[in-house]
Amino acid sequence: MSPRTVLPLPATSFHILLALMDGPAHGYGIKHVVEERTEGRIRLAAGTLYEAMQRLARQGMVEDAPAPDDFDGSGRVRFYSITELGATELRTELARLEQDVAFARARIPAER
Amino acid sequence: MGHGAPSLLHRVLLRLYPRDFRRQVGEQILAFWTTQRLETRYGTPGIGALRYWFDVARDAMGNGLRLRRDPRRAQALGLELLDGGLSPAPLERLSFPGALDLFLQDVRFARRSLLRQPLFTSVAVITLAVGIGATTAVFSIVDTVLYRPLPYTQPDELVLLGRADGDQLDGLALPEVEGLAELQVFASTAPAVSYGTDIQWSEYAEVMNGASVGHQFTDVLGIEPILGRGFAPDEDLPGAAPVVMITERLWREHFAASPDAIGDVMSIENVSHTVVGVVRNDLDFPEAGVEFWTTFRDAALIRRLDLNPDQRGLTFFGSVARLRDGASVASAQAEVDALFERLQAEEPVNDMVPRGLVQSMHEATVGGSRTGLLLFLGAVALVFVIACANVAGLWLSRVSGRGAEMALRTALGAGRRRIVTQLLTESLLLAGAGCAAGIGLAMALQRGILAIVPTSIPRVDAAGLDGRVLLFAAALATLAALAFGVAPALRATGRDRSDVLRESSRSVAAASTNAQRMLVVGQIAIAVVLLAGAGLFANSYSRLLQVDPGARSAGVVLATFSPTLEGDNTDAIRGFYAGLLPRLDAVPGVAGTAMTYSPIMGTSNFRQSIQHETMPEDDNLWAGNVIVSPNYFEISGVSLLRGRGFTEEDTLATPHVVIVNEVLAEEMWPGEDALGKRFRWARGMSGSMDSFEREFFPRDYMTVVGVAGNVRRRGLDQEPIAEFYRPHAQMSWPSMTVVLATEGNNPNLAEDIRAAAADIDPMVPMSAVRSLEEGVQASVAEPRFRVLLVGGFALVACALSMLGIYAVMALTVNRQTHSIGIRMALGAEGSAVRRQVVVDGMRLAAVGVTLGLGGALWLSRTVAAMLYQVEPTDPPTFVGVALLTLLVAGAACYVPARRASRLDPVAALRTD
Repeated sequence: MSPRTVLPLPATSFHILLALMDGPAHGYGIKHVVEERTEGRIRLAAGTLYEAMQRLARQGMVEDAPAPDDFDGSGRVRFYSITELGATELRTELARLEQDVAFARARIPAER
Repeated sequence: MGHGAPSLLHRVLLRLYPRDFRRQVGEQILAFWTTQRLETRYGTPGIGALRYWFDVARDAMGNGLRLRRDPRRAQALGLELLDGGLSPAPLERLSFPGALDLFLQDVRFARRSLLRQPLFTSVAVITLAVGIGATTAVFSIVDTVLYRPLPYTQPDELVLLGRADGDQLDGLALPEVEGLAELQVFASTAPAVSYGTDIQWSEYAEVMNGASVGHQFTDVLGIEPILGRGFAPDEDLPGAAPVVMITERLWREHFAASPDAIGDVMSIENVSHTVVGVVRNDLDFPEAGVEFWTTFRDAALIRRLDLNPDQRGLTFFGSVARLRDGASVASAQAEVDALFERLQAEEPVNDMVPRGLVQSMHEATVGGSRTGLLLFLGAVALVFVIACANVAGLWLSRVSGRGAEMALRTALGAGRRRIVTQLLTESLLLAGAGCAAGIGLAMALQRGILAIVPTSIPRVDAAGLDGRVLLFAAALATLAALAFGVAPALRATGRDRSDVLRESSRSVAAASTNAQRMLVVGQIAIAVVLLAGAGLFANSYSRLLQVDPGARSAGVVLATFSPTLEGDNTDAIRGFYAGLLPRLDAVPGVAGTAMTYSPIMGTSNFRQSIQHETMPEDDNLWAGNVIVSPNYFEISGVSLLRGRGFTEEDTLATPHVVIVNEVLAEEMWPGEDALGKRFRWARGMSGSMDSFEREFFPRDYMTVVGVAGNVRRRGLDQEPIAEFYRPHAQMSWPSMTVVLATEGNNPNLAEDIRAAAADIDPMVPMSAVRSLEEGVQASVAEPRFRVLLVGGFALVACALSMLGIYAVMALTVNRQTHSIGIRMALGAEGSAVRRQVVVDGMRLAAVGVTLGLGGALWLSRTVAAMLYQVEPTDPPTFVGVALLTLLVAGAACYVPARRASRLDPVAALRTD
């Protein structure tokens, strides 16, 4: 699957991938990180999150990962990590966003 | 992640997600949700849980239903949606409220669809409203009376104690009350006795119901006075300063709702009582209508009689008790039985050996009304079933008439589930409208029922339409919608619909007509059951009304006077009445006056044990003692069969005389002439007898001077009991009821009577002037209520089922237009066609009537106890109901039959 078909990334996916850049995490962990980083602007519900995770997995951007040694929760809880493709997509998206931002800045002068 | 186990609600909500998705990440979502619960914002007590479940539900409904309904999203995840998802519909804009949106869209469609057929819709809504409204109204009353907890703390621990009179509570003697208080099985007990007594307000006096209760009664019941306090133990000792607690009503009416009422005084039988507490009006202890409470040792009844209550002969006390933790009515009964055996050994009671009875307070209060109320609920439930069947019939024909629409929608790609959902939305919307109208109807009906409800049904005043009742109505509506909506919806979508587009609708419609015919048979059967019940009750009621009570009631009015007995001065009592009766006689419209202690249909009744001359000392008989004035027989219409009546010459100075009724004469001296025979009280009172006691309970023999006809004193359906009459001059009881025969029409009769009485002494309490005729009516209030209620339901059921048979026959004629046209073209007479349709309809009616009669016979046993001189299988009633139903059904069939016979064969043949 080429990057062209998935870009631009939906905001949910963008933040999920960003959260996974720190290392493997389980669903609720991802939600928690996203919520903290966006200062509560993005609060993921279980359905939204797992729908996105399933889609990202089908697109090959995330994959299942073993639970870290210090995890004391249930063995059934699934951990996810970001794939090479996912990281590439994220960087591509970042570059696209930077271009868009630069373009926008040039057209609209910053308020003083 | 994954703290705490997911609850049932979690799992239910998870099911909103499509199955494939659940399989992939269901466990993950559950773990996510349980972890989410720990977030601080859900930590607020109460509201936090609400917020949490709102968020989870929003998650599941929004995301889950969106996945189910949006094939493209599902496809992106590789989900297989078995039901084909939603189609056709604009899907992009479905966000969280997507499911809601879709539902609202269904509702809008349903509304349009229903409004397109205003006749169908209004008939269906009205039918449902009648079914739901009537059922809800009856339910609200039954629920209030039978299932609401009594207004005390932990009321299921409360029991009432008494002597057993069958399964009824009877009065206890004081030693029994005291013995019961010591039983281990009770955490606490309080004795109580209620009675009417006179209260002196500053301007006038009145008789009011009060009770003497143990000082513990507020603790036992677990109630708090709304003002002041309960009784202190030392206030419940002989010689303590008299205190009283009053209802809020009394406090508002006589103490201006002032806090200063506490410490104020109230005069009860001319004794000043200090008000110590005010309690709410619905206390109803020990029975409804009690307005004030004095301490038990202050019992005015005991004081008035000046009797020593510490013996087992006087039995008019009750007791309430709270069961100890873990104790049951049965374990309490065992201890009470043991106590009564012990008491019998210590101080024997020679006539019937008394047994104790423990009854839960709830059972004692409402138990007597249960069968009757459940009967009404059952009857109205049948009406509800008929209403549902009726709407189901209408619905079937409506849905089968929309075969082409269904087929078209299927062809356009709508899944079966989608169409069923749409149809169910329509039936739910219809039921919702019926429910709303039904609740309005229930309010009116409830008011109507309460207006005619007999006073013997307790707690009925508290009935209202609260959340519980509304929930019941909503549940009924849902039930109705499912009952009439599901089968047609499944049927309408159950086959390959493409045939419908090609074929005429005739063959398809035939199947739904059959279902409708079965519904009609069921409706008629149920209507017959209700009609039979109503018929039995009406029959029984009319027989009751024909019963001769043995005394005149037409034009008779009653007023009870309660002069206070000062010491043992019965001369003053005789003087009062000697002055009163001539004054009342002079009131315009009064033809004659007499007096009695026990007017018929009243509750005042002395029962005494007596023995005649040849009876052994320890043998006796119980009989009612009716005190009357000399002219009582003449005024009241009680017949004097033999001997003489009382005269002015029968006084304290002359020998004691008595008149016995036929029952007593037969019991005492079977086959002999009672005249001239003698009897006396079985036991005089113990201790020294003062003149009062000598007058009331003489040891002398009384001589029978007359035999009177029997009187049905306690109600038309109550067999006469053994009674004897005593002249008031020889037994000058203070409180007497004046019986006034009236003539003409004096609109101010009551005021004139009151004025005449006040002329002697305004401070002698006088009851309201009441009509004996109304009293007789009140005594048959329950049977009348049954006739009205069950009869009303039966009529509604009958009307609905006739509507049903009419509708199905009209439909049949409609569908057979073609074949009828052929028959008529071939030369069939209109009358033959008419007969065919009527016979067809009557066949349905006959099957319904047969089934209904069977059901009614089977059910009739349950009402046997409510019938007076009518067998529950009364053949005339059943035959009459069957004929009536067939007749009405014939009439209902005749209208469509006539239309069929007037068809123009040419036009009929052209129809599809």
